[in-house]
Amino acid sequence: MSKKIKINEYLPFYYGGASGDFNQIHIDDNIAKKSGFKGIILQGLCTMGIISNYFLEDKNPKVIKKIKVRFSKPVYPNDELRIEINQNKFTVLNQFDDEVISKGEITFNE
Amino acid sequence: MDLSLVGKKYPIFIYEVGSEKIIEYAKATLSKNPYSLNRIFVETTRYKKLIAPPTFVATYAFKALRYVFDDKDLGMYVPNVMHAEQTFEFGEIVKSGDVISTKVELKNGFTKENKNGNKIDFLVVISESKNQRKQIVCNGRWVLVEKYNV
Repeated sequence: MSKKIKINEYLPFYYGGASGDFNQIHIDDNIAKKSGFKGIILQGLCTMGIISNYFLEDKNPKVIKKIKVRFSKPVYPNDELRIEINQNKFTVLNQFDDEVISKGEITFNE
Repeated sequence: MDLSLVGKKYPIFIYEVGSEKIIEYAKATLSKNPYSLNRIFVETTRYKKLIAPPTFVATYAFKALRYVFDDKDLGMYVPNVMHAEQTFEFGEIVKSGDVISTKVELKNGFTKENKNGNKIDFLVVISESKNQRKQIVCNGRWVLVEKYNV
């Protein structure tokens, strides 16, 4: 696919409010750096949700039966993601062509 | 973390799904889906209520996962914990007004060393979420890793 998904710099905070995931590595730059990152990172489940919604488009949410991902590398605010799809398998890459989600699989209800 | 606690089960967490939370979550995951965002559209469907995006499970089950993160006996240092893998298998859809009960269990745990010789703990947690009619809405498999000597 060619569509790019831009990660807004405030998305970790917004998603934290929506989901309750306020792990400090998502909201505190200093804690994130102490944990080995270059700054705050996006919640993995936010990335997964974005990808799931990408597949869902405007269809009834019941069409998705199963989704599986491996979080390979962190997603940072201002990253630009793209999805590569091969039948029911997919990977998600950032602007540096690093795989941030690998071994993705999605199954739809008939 | 103390991986000898594998097998431990936590209390059921009950979550009532609200329309505003569905909309907030849908927007936070960049959804444009009318089933989750458009109250006028859903009136034209048989549901008559907003439907949560599938991964809304991250909201109602994540709150059940808090029991794991906050378990002092398990002893996670949360800033060093990363989410490594996630699987969700969905059943019934989740609508505004549904009451979801989620139970979680520590299913498996093991330790590996990375190439630098640092220890990494892997913890597999499973979740089972049912609606008020006792129908499965989602089964989840959460793989968490805790790094040491960061």
